[in-house]
Amino acid sequence: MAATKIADISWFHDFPPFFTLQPNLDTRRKQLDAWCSLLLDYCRLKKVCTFDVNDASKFPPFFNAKINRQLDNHFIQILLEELRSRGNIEWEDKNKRRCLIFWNSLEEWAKNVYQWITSRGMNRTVCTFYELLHGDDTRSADFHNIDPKLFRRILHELEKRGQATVFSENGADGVKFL
Amino acid sequence: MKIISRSIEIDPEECIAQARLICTLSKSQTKRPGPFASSTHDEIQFEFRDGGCNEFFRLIQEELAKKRWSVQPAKPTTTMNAAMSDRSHRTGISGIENHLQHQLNVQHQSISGAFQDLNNLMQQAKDMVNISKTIANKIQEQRSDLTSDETIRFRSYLLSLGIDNPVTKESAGSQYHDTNGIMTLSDAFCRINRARGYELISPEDLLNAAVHMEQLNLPVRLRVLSSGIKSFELTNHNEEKDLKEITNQVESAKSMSADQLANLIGIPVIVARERLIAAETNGLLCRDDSIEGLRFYPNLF
Repeated sequence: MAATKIADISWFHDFPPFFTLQPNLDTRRKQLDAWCSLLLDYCRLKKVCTFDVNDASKFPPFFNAKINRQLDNHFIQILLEELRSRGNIEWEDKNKRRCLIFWNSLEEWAKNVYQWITSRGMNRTVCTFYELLHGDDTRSADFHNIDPKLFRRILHELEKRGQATVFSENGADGVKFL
Repeated sequence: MKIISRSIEIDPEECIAQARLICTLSKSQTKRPGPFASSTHDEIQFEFRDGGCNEFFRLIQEELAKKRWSVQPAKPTTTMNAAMSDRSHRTGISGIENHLQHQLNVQHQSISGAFQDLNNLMQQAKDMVNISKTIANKIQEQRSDLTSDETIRFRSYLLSLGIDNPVTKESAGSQYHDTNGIMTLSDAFCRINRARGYELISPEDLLNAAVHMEQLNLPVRLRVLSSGIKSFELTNHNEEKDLKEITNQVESAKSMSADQLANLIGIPVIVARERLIAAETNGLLCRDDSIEGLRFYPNLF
């Protein structure tokens, strides 16, 4: 895939005021909407599933060298909290340092995985996590190469729906789709 | 009046050293009443942005020591002696003529004496202004015997005293129309006192007058801007139209800072900043705040 410029995902990224938290609340609402869309689209494209606040300054969407602008920490905190309130991120720790990113909701993911498995006729077969995540056969799947932590959460969701069973054998994690 | 403090302060916004001189006014000791016996606004603060504080401080201390305002202005007395001896002829038409001639001599001496020495001029400034005004009126009424050359020269002297064309009193008004309909109170204060030349008004007077303007249906009214700064604006000022125009200016320039807007439409920077923020509050503009400064863009969100 050709390198995608972030401005191709959202033209706002080249608009300097995008990087200043707007004091006008109506404008701010629209600004935050635009940022959330941009971040989730970026993460979906690059399959970014986790985020560490310490790496914020290196996270490409948070700065634009071409126009010499970057988000300050205050704005980043506000964005993360906005995403959390929309269910798009979950904090892994109390200190809010690391989080899991849901560009799809858990329900959407569960449906997505189950549909893919069913379309390949793989129900009632046993697969290891590894071959599902990284195997050649799953290259076209949305879940290919996603973070194992996220994958585990999706499979647990399927378990709750009675659509899969997760187990561990010889140290390897596996799943049987029903 | 006493100088109570002298300080150098660093202005956090502009990061330059600003020297400040604060003087308090004590109650009036003389029996001559002014408009107020005393006032809660009894401090005068001088701010020096370009230096000169030390020099000014030295001069003001000198003047406070000299107390020139208690000294009676020197009246020429020499010509009185000549008139005294002719007491017997001071009645009748010749007496009136002598009296008029004597007055002209006094004025002539007063004017030449004053122009020789600048310090004397300062002392006799009040007399000077009154005499000049009288002569200015005489020029207008064409009762004097000055030639047109001398008239032109004399009018240039009047100009340097701060008395513009003695016929027009609208000079202050025409300047006002160039300011795009809005002017801060401090600018207005300076312009009004410059135009008056004497019997100056105090900041308190201006403020009291400003507060009543709207009630009196005057063409100008007081307006407090969102930053707390008070300004005068024309009563026919249309806020919505004004903000739309500012938005158009910003659009054609793609983006603008308060400085740029101030230069472009000829208003003070403080007012330009306030106008931009007002447009932002109305959702017409959005801001870009970075180390490059505060700029405003059309609201494309």
